[in-house]
Amino acid sequence: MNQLLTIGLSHYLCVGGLLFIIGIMGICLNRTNVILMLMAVEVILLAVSLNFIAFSAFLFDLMGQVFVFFVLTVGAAETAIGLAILVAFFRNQGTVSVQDMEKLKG
Amino acid sequence: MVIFGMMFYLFAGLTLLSAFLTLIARAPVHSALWLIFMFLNGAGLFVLLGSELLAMIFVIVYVGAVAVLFLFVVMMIKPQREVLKKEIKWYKRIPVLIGIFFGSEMVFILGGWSFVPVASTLDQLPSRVQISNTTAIGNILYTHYAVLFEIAGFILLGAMVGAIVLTKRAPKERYRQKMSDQVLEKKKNRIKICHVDIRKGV
Repeated sequence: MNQLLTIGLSHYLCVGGLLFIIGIMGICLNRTNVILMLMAVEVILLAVSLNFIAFSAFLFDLMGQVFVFFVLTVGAAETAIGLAILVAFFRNQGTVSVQDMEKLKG
Repeated sequence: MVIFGMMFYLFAGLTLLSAFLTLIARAPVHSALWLIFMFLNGAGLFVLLGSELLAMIFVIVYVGAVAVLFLFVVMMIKPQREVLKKEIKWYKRIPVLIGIFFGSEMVFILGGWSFVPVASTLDQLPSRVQISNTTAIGNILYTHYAVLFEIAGFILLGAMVGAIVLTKRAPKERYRQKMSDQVLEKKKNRIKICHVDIRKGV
């Protein structure tokens, strides 16, 4: 019991790994709308950030935290652009369903 | 220490649960709300790891901006609820199996993770020295990584410009030459022939 409550690096890595798997599964399984796919990407980014910060904390090296900062920047930019594309797509097609996205013509 | 461990399990469990619920919720609005909850719990995990600055940035950026953006878009475009075509149901099972396989594999491998003994001699100070996390990050972010910091700013600027350009609607009354209208225009609509008497005007 006491050993279970002593939190080490591997606990955080397990949480990160499971979050990553959940995000991947969300992308694979979801066939209804694209917004959920973007949310799954956010879940994956959180998993990666958690791994970075866990290593940074347990190795006493700040580089990981600085890197999470940049991951966060890129993630925010990606979300903004993705949602903008989604809105533009919805205006053209009237749907955001993954099943209906089968045309590649502009 | 016990409280620390219990807090870890609380935050970790809630993070995983809400990540799962994000992806299986029926209504997209519920997904966005679960996403917000997941980020709050993730920020809790960051605090437990001792990086308060990033936890607060996560709360501000993700909960305050990104998740609200998601909510806004979900409400604006009203995606329809789950309507699955029947014939693709079977093919859901393969990724589930692969996911369970890789998930358990990860838990087994990462659960036994430990550093080699040498690693502890390679410590690179900051957390050991008595300065706060924010100060430590600021000290290296604005000096060693100043160029990367500027590039991050430009990435955000580019994202902003791109998002505006993508979503901007062209105004309806723009003065633009329409060839078809010009060709199809009739003479009588444009020219009026008046017989004007001298010294009287029209």
